[in-house]
Order: sequence, then C-alpha cells, then structure tokens
Amino acid sequence: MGLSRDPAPLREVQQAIQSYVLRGDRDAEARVLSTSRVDARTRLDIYAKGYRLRLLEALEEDFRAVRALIGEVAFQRLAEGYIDAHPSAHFSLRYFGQHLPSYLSHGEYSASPWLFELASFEWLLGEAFDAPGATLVSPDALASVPPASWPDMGFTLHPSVRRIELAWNVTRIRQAVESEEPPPAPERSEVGIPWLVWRQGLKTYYRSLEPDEAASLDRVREGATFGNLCEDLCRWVAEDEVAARAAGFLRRWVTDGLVTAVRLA
Amino acid sequence: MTETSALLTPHLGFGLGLRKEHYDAVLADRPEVGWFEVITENYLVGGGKPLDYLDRIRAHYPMAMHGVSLSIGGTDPLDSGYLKALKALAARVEPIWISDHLCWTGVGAVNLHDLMPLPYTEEAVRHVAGRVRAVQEFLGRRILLENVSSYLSYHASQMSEWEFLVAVAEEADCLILLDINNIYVSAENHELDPRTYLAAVPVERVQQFHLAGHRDLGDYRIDTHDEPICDPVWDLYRDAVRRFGTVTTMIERDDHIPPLAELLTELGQAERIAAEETASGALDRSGNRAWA
Ligand SMILES: [Fe+2]
Repeated sequence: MGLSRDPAPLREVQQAIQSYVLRGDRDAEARVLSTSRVDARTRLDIYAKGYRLRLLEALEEDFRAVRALIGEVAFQRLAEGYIDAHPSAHFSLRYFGQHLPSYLSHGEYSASPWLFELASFEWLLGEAFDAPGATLVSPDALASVPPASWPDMGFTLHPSVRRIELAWNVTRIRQAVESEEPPPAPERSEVGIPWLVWRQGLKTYYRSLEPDEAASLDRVREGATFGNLCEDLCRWVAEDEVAARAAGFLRRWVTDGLVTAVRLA
Repeated sequence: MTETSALLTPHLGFGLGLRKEHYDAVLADRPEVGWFEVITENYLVGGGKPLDYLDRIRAHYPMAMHGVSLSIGGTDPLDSGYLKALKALAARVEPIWISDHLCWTGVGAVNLHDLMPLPYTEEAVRHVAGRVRAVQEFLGRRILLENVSSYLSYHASQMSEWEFLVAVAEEADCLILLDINNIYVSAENHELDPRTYLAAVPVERVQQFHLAGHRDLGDYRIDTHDEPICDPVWDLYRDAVRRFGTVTTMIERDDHIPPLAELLTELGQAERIAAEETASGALDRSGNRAWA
C-alpha cells in the first residue's frame, strides 16, 4: 500500500487516539482516514462512546442499589464524572469501580452521605463474592482444644470477611433493590451500626453485629487470642460472663464459616 | 484426509463461549459441545462462584482461554502482573490454547477496555512480533492472535490488515484465531473485500475460528456479539471452511444471551456448513483444494 502519509511512531498514534477517547482531544482526527460514508471524527466517536458505555455498564452492575436510589439520569451523571476522574488502570473491568465510594464522599455528593455508605457496602459485597476461598475449621476442631489451651488460641478468618460501620439504612436499601422492591428513603440511625460481610460456600452474606462482637472480630483480625478477647470483653459484660460470651461468638463464627484456622501458641 | 500442519492442535469440534448465565444449564444438561472458550479476565479473581464453576465445568469439557487485556500492540511495557496471573490460571485450567487480540488496549497505564486497532506499519510488525515472542517464551507455549473488528484506520498504515496479521504471525511464529465476523465487519467498515482477506491468511497458522453476530448501523457495523450470526457472515464462513478445512470453531455471544439451546442450534448450523463443505471432496487441511 506504499508509503505512509503519517510516519509518527506507534506510541504517538496511540496517545493521540487515547486522548480523543478520554477527553475528545481533536488532534487524533488528522491521523484517521475517512471512508466514503464515515468521516474520521465519527469513526473516533465510535470508540469514545463505546468507552463510556462499557465503563458505565460496569458501574451499573457493581452499584445496582446506588443506581436504583438516585435514578438512571443522576447515575449516568455520576458515572460520567467518575469516568473522567478515574480512568481504568487495571487489566480487569472488575476493579474499575473501586474508587467510587471515595468519589462519593467528596464534592456535591458529600451532601448525601448515605451514597458513600451504600457504595462502600455494595463494593464490599463484590469483594466478598470473588475473594479467595479457604478450608473452614469444623466445630469439632474447637471441641478438641483442651480448656487450658483456650486462652492462647488464635484464629485466621476467611479471606472474604469484611467489616463496615453503617449509620444509614443502606443494607435495607440494597435488600429492597435486590428483591426488585422500591428502596426505602435514606434514614440515619442514632449511632453507627457494625456490619459483617462474608461469603460462605458460594453465597455472600451480611449481618449486623453487637458492638462487643464487632470489637472482638476486629481484634481477631489483628491477631488477638481468645484470652485477649476475654480481657477486652470486660468492658461490656461482667467478669464471670466474659468467657461464655467469647466462646459464644467463636462458635457462631465457626458455624458461619468465618474461621479457617485455629492456632495454638 | 485431514492433515494437520505441524503447528496446529487437531480439530476439537464446535464450541461455545462459557457465560455465567449458562453455568447451571451446562452442569445440569452437559450439552454436546466440543469445548468451551472462557474469557480469561473473568477468572483472574481470588475465588468464589467464577472459579468454582470454572473448575466444575472444566472437569467435563476442554477449554480455551481467551484474553482481552494482553495489549500485545501496546507501547507500555508488558504487564508482568497480568502475565503472571494468566500463567497461574493456565496452570489451573490446562487450556487447549491461550488467545488474545491483535490490538492495543491503552497507553500510560490506562486501560480503555477495548480492542483498539493498530496502524499497519513495519514498525508495528516488529514491535508486536517482539512482544508476542516474549509472551510465548514466558508462557512456554505458542499463543493465538485474533483479528479484531475495527471502526477506524490510520493514515500511518503502510500495508493491509491481512498483510499485517500475516507478517506478525510469521515473524512471531504464533498462531491465528480468525474471527470470520470480524473480517466481515472490518471489511464493510473499511470498504475492503473480505474474500481477499481470507485468501491471504496462511492455512497452516489458523488454529481457531470465531463466529458472532454484529449490528448494522447503516453507515458502519459494530461487533456487538448480541444477536445471531447474519447470512453474509455464514457465507463467508462457508468460504473459510473451503479454504481452511475443518477448523475448531466457536460462537461468541456476550449480550442478550439466549437460552443455551438457542446457541446450540446456531452452533449446529456451523457444524452443518463445515460438514457440507468438507464432505464434497478430499479437502485437505492445507487448503490445496480451496476456491474449487
Ligand atoms: Fe472474536
């Protein structure tokens, strides 16, 4: 096909095309051929529009409740702003939405603080959904630990375990959207409520926690032993109830599939 | 009768893309599909449902891994994190082969999540071929590169798309995944002859065919994978079988995903066409009887 009319190195061509796709930078037009039916700009626009559409669809998939709550038009505007602020840097579209919660905590969206919480919660559900798996500890394994060893016992939690504090009723909003019901209006509770998100088998679950269970679980994630948990629980319950309370948490965590290893010092 | 070139894996029959909408139906019904093609990136996650279904379905079917993020034509360094993840997934899946696209996906650490066409230059041939060789060395196997649907072309190009594809494949010593629909879409968009394209591709490097549906928007066509294969693409496929013989073939459907049975019917049509075209004579895999 003979000599090139545009001897620019490959990288320059790519930068020009990408600038058009990301920002509509028109320098790229001079590098693109027109056909008898379609001019260069229209051809570039196919890529520019496709880019925005693909990213919008990824956000819609990952933040279904945010979209249902604010409506399609507002969500599209949100997505446009986010797409400009955070071009995808990951090889997988799966992670494109990871900065949306923090994006929602700034600027105009900070006036609707439930959006940050809802997006954070939805992102955690996604993380739990495809987090690595791990073999679980069976309830029998606990029973076989001699009582004298309990204080030194440490635990490894399932890689899907996530914790979040939510002041708004965003779990109910998400639940309504998933059941294809109209979402309730955002409502703030007096105090933040601790939530747990995790996957057992192939199913993702979430439940609220009492403050002492949340604190215990957080301590376990930091490497605390059963003995440490008991010491901490003195802040919430009488000393003679501490061991039973901690053992109750532990049994529930094991049954729920949160514990993948028991370590004995 | 079918003589396979030394480069190629023997014919594996007719396959489908594995899509999550069909996971349960595949496991329950075990449809008569020769193999499944999986989108690599969908399984580059820690665990959960995607990998669980992948393993269970892999236990019953051969699989090919088809990637979209290699950016083999990109000018950023190859993404070593991606390559390592790709290699680890390949160790798990033991795919019949690994493919990606002859394109670039972004520069400056940006991913456009699209298959961007390259300018067809000598520089790009050398650049891409060098990267293919590096990837093949890292993976310890030949890869397949697929021709993409494109909606623009460059003043910078010095050769045709098919000359470019062939030059890269020869220089890199890689294989070709020939997407018949993409040939048709690109030929329409660039006002070229799809049969000239077919005739230029070396038979001994074509390991796989893709078939798919696209959208005709009047002035141009877009590779949407959201509807059945159209008649002109079936005709082109017929010509492709005449030239290339029985090539391992699959249908891509990525949107408006119908029940599995519908795709199996469409796959049956591909199988029928291939049978008609190969039964009519001693067609050999090297395509000597092509264009009879
Ligand atoms: Fe394809």
